[in-house]
Amino acid sequence: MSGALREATSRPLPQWRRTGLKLLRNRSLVIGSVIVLVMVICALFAPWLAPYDPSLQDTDHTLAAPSAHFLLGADMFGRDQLSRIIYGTRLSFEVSLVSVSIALLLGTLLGLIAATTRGWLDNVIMRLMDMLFAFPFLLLVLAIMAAFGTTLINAMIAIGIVYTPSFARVARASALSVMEQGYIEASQGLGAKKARIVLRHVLPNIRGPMIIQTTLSLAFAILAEAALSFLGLGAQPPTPSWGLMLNEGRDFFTQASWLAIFPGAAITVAVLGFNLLGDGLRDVLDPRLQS
Amino acid sequence: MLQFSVRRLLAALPILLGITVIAYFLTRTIPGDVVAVMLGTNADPQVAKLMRHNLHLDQPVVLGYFDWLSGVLRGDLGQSIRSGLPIGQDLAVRFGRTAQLTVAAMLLALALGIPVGMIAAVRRNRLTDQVISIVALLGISTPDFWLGTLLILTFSLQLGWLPPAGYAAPGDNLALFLKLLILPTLTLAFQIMGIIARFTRAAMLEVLGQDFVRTARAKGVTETRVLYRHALRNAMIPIVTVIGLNVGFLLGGTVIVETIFGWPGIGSLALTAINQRDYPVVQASVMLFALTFTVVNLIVDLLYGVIDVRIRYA
Repeated sequence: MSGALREATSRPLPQWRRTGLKLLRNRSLVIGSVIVLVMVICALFAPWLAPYDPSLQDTDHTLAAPSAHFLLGADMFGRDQLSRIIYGTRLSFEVSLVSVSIALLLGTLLGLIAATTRGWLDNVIMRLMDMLFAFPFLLLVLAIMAAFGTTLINAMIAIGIVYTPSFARVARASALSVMEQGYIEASQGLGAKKARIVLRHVLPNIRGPMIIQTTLSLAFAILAEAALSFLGLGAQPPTPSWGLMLNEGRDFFTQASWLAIFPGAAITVAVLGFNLLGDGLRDVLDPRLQS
Repeated sequence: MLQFSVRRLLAALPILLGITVIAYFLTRTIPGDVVAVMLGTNADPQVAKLMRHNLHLDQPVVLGYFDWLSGVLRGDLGQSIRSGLPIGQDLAVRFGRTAQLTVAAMLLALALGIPVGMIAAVRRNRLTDQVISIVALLGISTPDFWLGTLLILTFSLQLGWLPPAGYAAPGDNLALFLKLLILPTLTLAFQIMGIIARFTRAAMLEVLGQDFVRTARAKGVTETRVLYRHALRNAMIPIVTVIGLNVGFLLGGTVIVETIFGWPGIGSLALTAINQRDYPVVQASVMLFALTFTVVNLIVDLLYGVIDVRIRYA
């Protein structure tokens, strides 16, 4: 009885606290957010966090093993690996944010046009997306870069173009289901213009799937940048880039295994962080998974 | 079934044609005079003219495309700028080697990914499920070029169990071929396995909550039979879709994995060609990758009709 009484008298938690509790209970979301947050801090405050200048060559300590001096060891030029990894977050973020923004803007635009016009334009856009989708993504990025030159800017554009079809598909599918809703019909009935309906009603309501897609694409964009730099087609020396570090250290892996282990681990943790965040967001934002 | 198949085939035709357009125009946009780059600036103008003609560079782009396409349809993919040899034959041999690698990786990923995903679904939220989910997520997040490097370092250089890189034809030396196949297959399979395990888990969870599964259990069907005959069959459509889409992933992965392990397939050929700006080879290999992807997904589309009879008439 006392339980029921307490339940009846205690005030319900306010909405924001209930939402907050739900978010905190999602382990993927929490771990993913922490990893991403640490990365953001590393990228923003690299000069203060890194123990050394990332390009400082300490020639007395080339290939120094991990120690109190060099926590993650030093490379063949005596550069501190920890500092290079911390600075490497900057490049990772820069490339993935720019490329995913390109894909997000272009993909959402194309997807919305396809969903709202239907008919032949829809067909043309989506078949074009299918064609782009048919090329293995890394190969298409490489081919675009071969055509336009292997610079970091081109790498970002190429990764952006390659991810556009996924965004267009998600945007179109979500927009189509939103446009079946009653409030769209109501808005049409009130005489709202098409542009207004898309901007005021459709766009805000496809936010969820687009956020999930963006987070997961950031994970893949980090992988793509690392892969390009590993192949020598992305960042150029002496830029601190995780993929490039693996490429440069290749000949020394047998003597200095830390050159192989830590930059790769950094990539894996970063990608894992965005994947966890994306998974967690999907659990929270996708209404179909609420049970 | 026949009508269904024909409809799907016809729908794929414009996509196949579009792929040839992208493959051709992408490589025609390479800035600068390719011939001058290839031959050097003080080359014999006669030779340069001949080379331009052979590469269809003396024609307007659109005409060049149709010339090239008609050659492709007759099985003539042109010649490599670097070696001067016809591309078609080399590409066919290499395609076989890439197929050996990707098929091995896909089989391994399926053999591990589907059962593991099913176990995770059945033991939902228990320790087993959590361990499997973490490993699957690690599979998706680990870069293949890093995993490959670590495998070589551990199993070839440290332990000396397996050769680090190279290729042997299975007809010449089957034992060596299999030994060389292990590490690149593991590298390629890990990522796909993670994806397949995650999708299998999600698809099984959806199916296991449905009424027909409860009915099957209630009428006393054994749990194994419920899982394999009732649940897995109904979860197969999303799983097969994911397999088809990930063939593209797998093919893209061969670019890096073949390069690391010295596997002379199309992936490593494409990367070398891109680095050398040997664009007839880039065109041909990029196109072959995209065609393979499209054909595999066409087969997947047709498989839907086999798995679920209702789809044929939809």
